[in-house]
Amino acid sequence: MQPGSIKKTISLAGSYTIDRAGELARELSEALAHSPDLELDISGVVEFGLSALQILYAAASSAASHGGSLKLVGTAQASLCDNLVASGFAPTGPLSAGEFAARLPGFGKVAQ
Amino acid sequence: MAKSILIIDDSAAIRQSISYILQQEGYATVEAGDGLEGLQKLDDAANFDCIITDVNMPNMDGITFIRKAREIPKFKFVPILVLTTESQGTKMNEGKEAGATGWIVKPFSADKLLAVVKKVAE
Amino acid sequence: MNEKFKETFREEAEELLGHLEDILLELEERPGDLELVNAAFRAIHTIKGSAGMFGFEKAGRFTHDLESVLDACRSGRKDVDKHLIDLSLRARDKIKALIAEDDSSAQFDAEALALMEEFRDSAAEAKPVEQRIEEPPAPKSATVKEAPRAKTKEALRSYRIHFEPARDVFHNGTRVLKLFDELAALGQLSSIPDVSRVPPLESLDPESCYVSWNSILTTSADIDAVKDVFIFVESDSKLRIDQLDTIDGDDSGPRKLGEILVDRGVVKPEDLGEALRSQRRLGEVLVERKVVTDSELQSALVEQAHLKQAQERQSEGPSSSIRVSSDKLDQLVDLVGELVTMQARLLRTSTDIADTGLSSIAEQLDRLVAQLRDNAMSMRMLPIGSTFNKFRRVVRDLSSELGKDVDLVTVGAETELDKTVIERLNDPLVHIIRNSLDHGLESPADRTAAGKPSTGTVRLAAEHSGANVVISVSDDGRGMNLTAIKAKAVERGILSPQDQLSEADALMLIFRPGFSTAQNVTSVSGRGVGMDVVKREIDSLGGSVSVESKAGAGSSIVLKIPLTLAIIEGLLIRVADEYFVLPLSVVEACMEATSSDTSNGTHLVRYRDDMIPFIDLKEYFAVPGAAPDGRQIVVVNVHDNRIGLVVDAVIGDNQTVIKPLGRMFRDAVGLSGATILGDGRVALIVDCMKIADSIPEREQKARAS
Repeated sequence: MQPGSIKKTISLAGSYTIDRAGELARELSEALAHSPDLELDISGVVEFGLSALQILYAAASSAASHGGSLKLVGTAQASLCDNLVASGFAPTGPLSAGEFAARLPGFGKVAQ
Repeated sequence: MAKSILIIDDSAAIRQSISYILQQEGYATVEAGDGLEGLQKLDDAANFDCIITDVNMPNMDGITFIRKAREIPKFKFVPILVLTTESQGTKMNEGKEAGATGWIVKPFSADKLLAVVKKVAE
Repeated sequence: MNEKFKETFREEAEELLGHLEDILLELEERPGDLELVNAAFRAIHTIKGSAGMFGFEKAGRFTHDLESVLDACRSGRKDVDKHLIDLSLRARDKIKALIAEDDSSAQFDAEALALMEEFRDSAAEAKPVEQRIEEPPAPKSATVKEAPRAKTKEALRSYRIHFEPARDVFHNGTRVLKLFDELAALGQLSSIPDVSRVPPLESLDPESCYVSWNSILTTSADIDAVKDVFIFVESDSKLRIDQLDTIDGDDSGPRKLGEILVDRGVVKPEDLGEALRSQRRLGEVLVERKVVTDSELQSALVEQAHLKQAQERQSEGPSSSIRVSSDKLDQLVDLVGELVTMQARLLRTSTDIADTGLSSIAEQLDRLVAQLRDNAMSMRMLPIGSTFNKFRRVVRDLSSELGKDVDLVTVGAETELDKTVIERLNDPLVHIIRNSLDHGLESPADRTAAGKPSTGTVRLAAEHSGANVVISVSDDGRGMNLTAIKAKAVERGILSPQDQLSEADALMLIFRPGFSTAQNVTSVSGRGVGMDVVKREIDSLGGSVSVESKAGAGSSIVLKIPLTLAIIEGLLIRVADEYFVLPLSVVEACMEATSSDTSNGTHLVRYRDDMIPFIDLKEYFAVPGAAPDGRQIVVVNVHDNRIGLVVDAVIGDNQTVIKPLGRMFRDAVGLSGATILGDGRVALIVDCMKIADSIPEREQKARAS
């Protein structure tokens, strides 16, 4: 963590479909502007659409390139995981958020 | 909660039959006779999970309807299906360019209609 | 539905045709009016589109060429003239007649045929549509097929699918991830997303798509069914579907990673050759040399694994598995048990005789017997998942009965356990789950009030732990009410009011016969039977039950069950002339016992940095004879409590076929069975849990401090 920065936890809840992509991207950009260390509690998330996943990848990559990290905390609900099984993003859930993040292919890397 | 579908077609027979098929499967339906009327329905507080629209209609055609619907934030990403006929290859592409999700080819059976609606709206 | 709307259509068509007549007559006055041409086209188009839907196929077919001609007129490829208007008016009358007579015979009359001919010619005369090259393909109808049913061994095919959606795919209302669910419904799907193009947040357009996929689908569906999934997106995304070689079971083994990469066009054959010359793993070398990206490698590896699995599934089809009665299987396991015992004797005898030829045979036979044993045991092993699935139904039914929202989460469904053990676990688990739902989880309103999600969770988990399987049922409910438990125990006469109980002991009260704390007796679990039955059944399986509970946060019941009832890995020890077997799963260490250890009067011995209690098995089992010098301490770990067992000698590992104890020993405390040693002598199997239980509390405390 950078000196003086405060680790922030954001709780996400509900369905993150494309309609909320702009909103989610804005919220995470603002949070990352304060500190590159960010925790997302995904326990309340029912669904991540592809747009939301991309935002998570992008945010994790931004956080990493600024010397911080984006951590997923809480539990990844069964419904959240099940929607992502066929496309190869997650195994069947529920999982701990940490395990969920670990199973997201290439998550947390800095984008070229 | 029942999924809600807006059906826009100037043919009452088509409109009603689509509506009937969808209602049998538990969908809620709203009908409009042309693009303009369809847009008015979008102004209402209604939330549609899918919109089915014909292309050739008086007052406002389906393509214009789709363009205008996509400009409304709430309906920017809602699945929209175009009713088309085999002879209208161009229309189908115009529809996609305007922002349609897919199409239903007339004439269609109930099974085919439901399969396509399920494909994009479930 | 046809009949229902036929009349509506007929009325509508009537109206449209009336309107069309007006338009055509007006058009005769003003042949250049495009608005009128458009209106005429729309009317015909609507009739044509609807006619087929409501059973007027003939009218639909008749209208086809008229529509084409009008289309040509409105796009300026044909001029409107008197002749065309004449024809159109006649056609209009014909359509009206066709719809009115509702004749479904296939034959058109002469007049209709002549008119159709005229329109066909007229359409052919029209100038061709310009920009022919860009003319899009005629729309295909989307047929969303159902998942293939398991018919008689259908040929399975594998498709490699590369899918890169258009950047703006979301703007068409397409749900990209759903396409994969459709693919998965066709068969067995493995997908690897490539996220390498997702930019950092600063440069991300949240409404654009950056991900692409490599998938492998094994299905009995044909390629058209696979393409149909992408029908609405194929025109503007990159899509490549290749059929891979048919899997026919007796193929020459799994494909090599290199072949797959070359086949995909990711790697050039010459690059491959070079990479193969280095002695390291191909994938690593290729990624290091930047010949392939990590994602490309991952998806190729997935393809390799997928195909191997598909091949295995294919080859283990219905014909290659047979049903065997479990009695026969039990007999086999029994015989293998005898064989294991005999083999141990043979090994010992061969050592005594010291004949190299015999020893070598005995050793080889030993390996074979070990394999045979594992094989025979594995036949009785089943994944516990099938039982877990049954509980989904139980939870579903109960939760609606009780008006509670409950999610059942299962973990470790693939954990394998002896079939007979699984069967006997069913009832106890049902009891425990019922209890969790009924007593443990609160009503949605109470949960919300307590700040929890309104849906409760029951977690059913299984995992291997040494020679045991640990199965736990946890809920995130209110936890167990210790006061209520104690009060009920007193009321039932199980406990006297003066008794002081530790929390753990109080929790164990729920396993006492006739115990039930439900305020209201419900049909679900408050019948006074249940948890005591659970404990008895688990005990008889040689397992143990424990409870954990945290007020407000939930409780969990943990069952520890031996993997199998037939054979265990044991540690053979000797006390005077008696042989005992300790289950190897609980043995942690062996160490020399000094007399200062065993006779310091504290019954505690130093183990690593800890003081642990010990028990002299010689005393415990009252084995006669004097204790020799240089004894051994075997440290066993039972429920995370370590205790030392003092023995005269540790002999070594021993595969132990468990024989039940005879009636005489049935009540012997601290023994769970017997076995026959290689030399024919009998050894008793020590029940370490029972022995641990006998350690007085003060020593447990001393250990803890």
